[in-house]
Order: sequence, then structure tokens, then C-alpha cells
Amino acid sequence: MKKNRSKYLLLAPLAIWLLLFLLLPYCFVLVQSFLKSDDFGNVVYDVNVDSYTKIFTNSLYYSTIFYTFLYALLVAAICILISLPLAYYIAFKVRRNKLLLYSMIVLPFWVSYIVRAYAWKIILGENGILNSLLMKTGITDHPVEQFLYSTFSTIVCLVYILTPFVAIPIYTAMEQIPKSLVEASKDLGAGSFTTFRRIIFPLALPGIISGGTFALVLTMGDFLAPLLLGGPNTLFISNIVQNLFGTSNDKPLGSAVGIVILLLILAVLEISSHYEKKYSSFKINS
Amino acid sequence: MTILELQHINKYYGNNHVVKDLSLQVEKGKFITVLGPSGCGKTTTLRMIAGFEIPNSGTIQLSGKDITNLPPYNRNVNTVFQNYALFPNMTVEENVAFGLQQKKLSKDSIKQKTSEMLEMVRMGSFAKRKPQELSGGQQQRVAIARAVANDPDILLLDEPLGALDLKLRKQMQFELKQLQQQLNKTFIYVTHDQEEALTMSDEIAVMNGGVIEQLSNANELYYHPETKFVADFIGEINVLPCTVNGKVSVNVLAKNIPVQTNGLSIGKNAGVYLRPESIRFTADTNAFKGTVVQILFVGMFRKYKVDLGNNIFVTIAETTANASPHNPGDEVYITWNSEQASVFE
Amino acid sequence: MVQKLKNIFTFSSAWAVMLFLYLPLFIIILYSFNNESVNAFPIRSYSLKWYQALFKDDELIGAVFNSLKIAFASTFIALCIGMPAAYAINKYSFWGKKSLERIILMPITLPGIVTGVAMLSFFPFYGINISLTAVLIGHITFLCAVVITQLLVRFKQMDPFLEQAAYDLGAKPLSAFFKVILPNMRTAIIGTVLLCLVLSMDEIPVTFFLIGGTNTLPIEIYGMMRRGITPEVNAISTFIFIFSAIAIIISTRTNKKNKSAA
Repeated sequence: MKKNRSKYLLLAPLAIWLLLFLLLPYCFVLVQSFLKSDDFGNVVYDVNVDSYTKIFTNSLYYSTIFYTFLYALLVAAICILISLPLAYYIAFKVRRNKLLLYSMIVLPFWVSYIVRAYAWKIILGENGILNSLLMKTGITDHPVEQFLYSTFSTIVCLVYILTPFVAIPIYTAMEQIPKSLVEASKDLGAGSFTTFRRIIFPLALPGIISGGTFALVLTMGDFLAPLLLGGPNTLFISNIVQNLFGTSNDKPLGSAVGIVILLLILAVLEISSHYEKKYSSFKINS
Repeated sequence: MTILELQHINKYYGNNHVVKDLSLQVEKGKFITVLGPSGCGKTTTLRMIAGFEIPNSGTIQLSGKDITNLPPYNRNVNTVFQNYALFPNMTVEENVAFGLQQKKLSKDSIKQKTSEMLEMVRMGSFAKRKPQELSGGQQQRVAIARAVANDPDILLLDEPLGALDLKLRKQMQFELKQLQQQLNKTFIYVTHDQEEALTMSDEIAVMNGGVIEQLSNANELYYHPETKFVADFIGEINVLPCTVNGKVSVNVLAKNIPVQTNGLSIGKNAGVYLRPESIRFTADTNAFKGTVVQILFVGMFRKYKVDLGNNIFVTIAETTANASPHNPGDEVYITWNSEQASVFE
Repeated sequence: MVQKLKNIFTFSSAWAVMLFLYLPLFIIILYSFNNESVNAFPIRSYSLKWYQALFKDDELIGAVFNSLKIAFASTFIALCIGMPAAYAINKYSFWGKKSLERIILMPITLPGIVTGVAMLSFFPFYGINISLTAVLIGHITFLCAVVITQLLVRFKQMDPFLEQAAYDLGAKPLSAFFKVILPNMRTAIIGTVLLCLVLSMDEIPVTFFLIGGTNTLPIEIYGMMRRGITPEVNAISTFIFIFSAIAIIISTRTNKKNKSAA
């Protein structure tokens, strides 16, 4: 049974690494969420559910969770909306340079998050490019403050950062649709729009769902965009976790919020993978 | 001389019993084909000989040595894979040299042997090409050269012609047979294509449901099938319903016919199995009477569909060298050589 | 006529989205040559002074080197851990395979912030406090997920008969791995390494919680942004953009070459 030994040998380093540095830390967060912290921020080994009670009774926590989820849905929806024409164009209208255009969607994905967030800071900033442009053209005579340090700028930034994550799976799904199906639809008298609505959209649905899920999940876990572009009133749930592990120093409560985010995300992933599978049964080949 | 012997081989995949108590002896220098429908266990059997699978029980002996549990790299058999499995990162030459390098032969002898092998399959001028730059037939030749270069005791071929088009397949069948005779090597060939099996093999093992139903030469297999499966699987066959009424007699359409009944008990309903070529027209009015329903011209043969009444039809094949003696609607009498008839339940 | 209008609509909306993706990046590049310290429109005069400032900023340069060290070390170690595992996952079935595949994906499916705080809370039990060492371990953990998902795709695409053919021709497992499997994985490995390097160089959420006194590049930029807009960030961002573009060009090139060969 030499074969068996070798396969465990190949897997052992990974298994040990993940156990030590991933699973145990995650489990510890779960444990910590049921503990409490003393006045100095030290974790006290006293099992209780105070942190969870706080999350579901204090509106700071539950309403932030709720709003973060809404914003995440909004970001996902906008990302899908703007990815659809782009993906459709590349998949069905472009003949030459397809790879080049595809690489053009992928490239922003490879560019640093912080750089892309920074770009919006200089565009939307109080003394930023958009404001000075508006003043120059005389549309307004004083800087418009809504642009930077607001939920609006945070959402613009997140849409910008996450669009490649959404466009790539949608494009991949559309690219797999046999061109003959589109031709058959047109042959049977359907116009471009009907063909898109009845043929392309349903067949690309698994890609749309998986792209949308990326955007949703990544927004829910994001704390940098609100931090960099949001105002004092922009608070996403992950910012609360960050604060609880930083300045507020209440690790048990931070862990509990973290666990709630995790559960929410797992639920989203579960639901979306269910629908992804359901709609991919439409797939004919591949 | 026996070169390969499988004894009581059993192989399970989970609860699926794919090879059942299989025993097989292969003579040195023979071209053996394992023929059967997909899922019959033929490829699994081949893979156990190659060493990619280990049987759950039973032994495999190569030249008298037990190789049952040896890994593939320690047994002197080589395989031509269905999809050729040529290494895309290596040239044709490097592919052929690969096995020789594993044997740690000297550079010169590797070079010499490699070019010899490539010449043998007429691929010498393609030595520096990459496999993906070759056509299917050329890749096939390289795959054969690569496997033969190691001078294996047995060459295993797993449906090697499956990916080729019909014309090329016919040509390669011929070349393979020629190569086998020239090298005087033992070939074990797996296929689901009966024509391939019948044309190339010295012996054919027909497999079904994990067991060998019959092992014999092509002629035996065709005219004297030992099981109903073999009769059905190979070629076209007529089945006439009959009742067994003796050790060597059955009743067909109220006539007693002498034929070996393979120990079926008297009174049993069975079928007389007959090839279309075994049936012929006769002038004897005591024979079976029927009506010609349809005549099909199929090249070498003319096929007659004859209605014997009681919803029983037979197909008769006659050479097209002569003009057809009958037309549709003609009343005819038919008979057959009972040597070439078999009875199965 | 109507068809033409529809085509124009598709064309223009697609390119509008493209513009949305690229305009901000071009603005950064353009403004990195701005002579003034305010990013106002239009640019009055151009200069290279922010690039000069960049090369004098010891902290920033230190951060670049920290990031490079972490990126190369974590990519190398993740490859050493992940490649054998990906090979085994593709080839064998074993108890707990499904769960293992799920666990591997956790650091990329679950939010980085949770992974970050989990590591922050637990690493002290191993005596690992916030430091570059902790960052390195964090990066290796999520890069293992990247390595395995990327390589698993290629292992699955690879003809399983190639490995069997190598054994059949007398190659022992190690020899078959190095002479047949590895050469056929080359492009996938190059692509994976590049992706890992870029992801590690860019990583913030996990790094944010594990970093000690010495910063990595993105954390340093984050700090600079928090302190207020300095056009130096424009300059360093331009460099980052150029390196990312080079990385993706190499990665698509090797991929394309491999596809045309297959």
C-alpha cells in the first residue's frame, strides 16, 4: 500500500499548514465571540452570549449590518448592469482582437486595490479633478462636498474596483454560448433584443449570478473603501470589526460581528451556488 | 510457449465487479484481440496487464514471472494509448527516446535505436517535429514506435485506431498486422470494433460483463459461436424459434432438424442461430418454404429477406457474381448446413 | 437602419464602461507629472519632481523591499506546499477530500478582514506577534488557495494518460513528474507565480491586522493617503500600474502560446 502513503505525504504539508494557520484561528474567533473583555481590553474566559445580544439589540450593529447588505446588493446590481453590455459586446460583436479586449477587462483586476481607490480620491476629492472641472466650466462656483467623504463616493469606488470581478465570469459564460444558438434565434425571426432576453441572458445567468455574488460578498467584507472615501457617517459593518479590534479593543464583540458577517456570507454563497447550479442545467454543451 | 498468463483475475471498482474470475493464456508471438462492448471490462483487463490497475485477486505472470503487483515502470510491457499520449513538450524523437533514456542506455545506442524505430514506422523525416504538428495517423505511428522501442515482451494496444477516419483505419490495420509479423512480437489489442478484430487477430477473446465468453480464431467465432452473446455480437445473424426435442434435434416450423443442442433440456423453447451466408436456396420442395419480400444489393453480397410465415423472417446472403435467380414475391425453398447452425436459449 | 442604431448603442455603451475602467488609471498617470501638489484641472505645468521625491523617500523604498521579500517568499513557499497537494487532489480520492477543498478556498471566499482578525487573535499563541513574519504566514495561507485552484485547473486539463505513458515507458514517479508533468505545467506555473506575486504585493485586509512597525507597500501608501493627498502616490501608482500591465501581458502571452500548442 505504497500508493496510499505517498498521497498522504503529498497532502500533509498543506493539511498541517491549514490546520495551524487557518482552521485553528477561525475556531478561535468563534470561541472568542462567546467570551468577554475587561476594561483594559483583555479577553476574559467567561462564557456568555453578551456580544450576540448586543449585535441584535443595539441598532449600531444590526442596522449597519442591514445597510451594508443593501449597499452590497446595490454595488452588485450596478456592476452587473454595466458588465452586461461590455461582456456582450466582446463576446458577440468583436471578431478580431477579442483576446486584447478581454485582457483589457482583466488588467484593472491586476492593478493594486489601493491604487484604484486612490484614483477616485483624486477625482472626487474636494480639491479634486471633478470639482475643479465643474468650477472651471461654471456649473458650480464652490466645491461640491457630496462627492468625497460620502457613501456615494464609497459606492462608486467599490463599483469601479469590483466591475472586473463581475465582467469576467459574465464574459466567460457568454463566450461559451454556441454562436449557432444566436443564429438559430435570428433565423426563427427574433430580433437582437429578443435574442438577448430569451437566449443569451438565460444562458449567461450562471455567470451573472457568480459575478454578482463576488461583488456582494467582497463589498460586505470591505473596510478600506469606506475608510478611504467614506465620510464620518459612512460606516460599513467591516469598519466596526476593524474598530473593535483596534481603537475600541473589544475583541469578543469584534469576533461576534465577524462571525455574523461570515454566516451571512456563507448563506449568500449557498443560495447563489444553488441558483447557479439550477440555471446551468440549461447549458447544452461544454 | 506461453508468454502471459492471467489466473482467476477479479477487479472491483467499489461495488462494481468489472472483471470476473478471468483466466487467459497468451502464446508468444500471437496477435490477440480482446473484443467487447464498452463497459465489458476489456480496457480494465489491459490496464491490469500494463500495471495501471492492480487486481483485487488473481495473478498475472509474464514469461513465468509474477508481475501482478509490480508498478508499470517495472514490467516489460508497453502500451499504445487510445489518444496516443505523446508528450507535447518533447519532439517526436525525444518521445521515442524517452523509454530508452529511462533504461539508462548509452547516448549512441539511444540515438541509433530511436532513428531505427522512426524509420520502421516511416517517420524518420519528422524526428524534430512536435507531436501536435502531426496528423492523427502520424501521431499513431510515433506512439507505436515509442512503445516498441523499449523492446517489450508484449505490446498492448488500447483501441489505437479509434480516433482515425475509416480509410486511414483500414490502412493502419494492415500496417499493424504487418509490423506484428515483422517484429514477431506478442500484441494484445483491445477494441469494440468487430471488423478490426476479425481482420487482424490470430485469436479473439470476446468479453462481456467481465468474463471471456469465447476465445478462438475468427472463423470459429463467426460460424461456431459458443454463446448467444457471441452469436449476437459478431456479424449479422438469423434467429429461428424452435423447440428442443432431442440431444441433436430441434423442431422448427413443424420440421425436425438435426443440430447440436448444447445440452438444452427437451421441450425447451430456443432459437436456431444461422449466419445469412449459411442459408441457401434449394430446389428441394421438402425444405422450408417462403416468399421473397425484399432484395438488397450490398456490394459483394445480395441480401434476400424471406418470409417463412408465422411472422418469421430470415435474411439470406448470396454472392452478386451471378444474376439474381429470384424476384420479390417469388416462392422459394431454403435450406442450410446444420454444421454452421447453433442453438441457444 | 434600426440594426445599425442598435449596434451603435452596444458599441458605445461597451466603450463607455471601458472608459470608466481606464480613465481613473490614466488620470493618475497624467497627474504624476503634475508640477503642483494639488490635483486640480487643468494641469498648468509638468515635471518629474514627484518621481524624484519617490526615490528619496526611504520609508517608501523600504516598504517596496518589504513587499518584494514577502511576495517572493510567500509565493515560493505556497508553491512548495500547494503544488504537491493540487497533484494529489487531482489524482487521488481520499477521505475528507470535499471538506479539504472547501477549507482551502476559505481564505479567498471569506472576507479578508475575518481571516485577518482570526490570525491576529490566534498567532500570539504560537508566540508570533504582529510583524512581517505574521504577514508572511498570512500571505502563504491565502496564496496556497490561489496556487491550488490555479494548478488544479491545469492538472484537470492535462491528459492523465501522459503520466501513465511515462510509467509505461519505465519512468519512476519522480522522473515522470519532473520530465513529463512539470514541463507540461510550465505555463500554468508561470501564470500562477505572477498572480501570486501581484496578489501578495497588493494584499491589504490580512496584512492590515498583522503588520507591525515596518510597512509593506500598500500599507505605506494607505498611510500616505490617510495623511493627505500627496502626488508622490501618483508616481508610485504609475509604477505599480506599469508592473501590473507587464505581469498580465506575460501571463496572457504564455497562456496564448500554450493554447495554440495544445
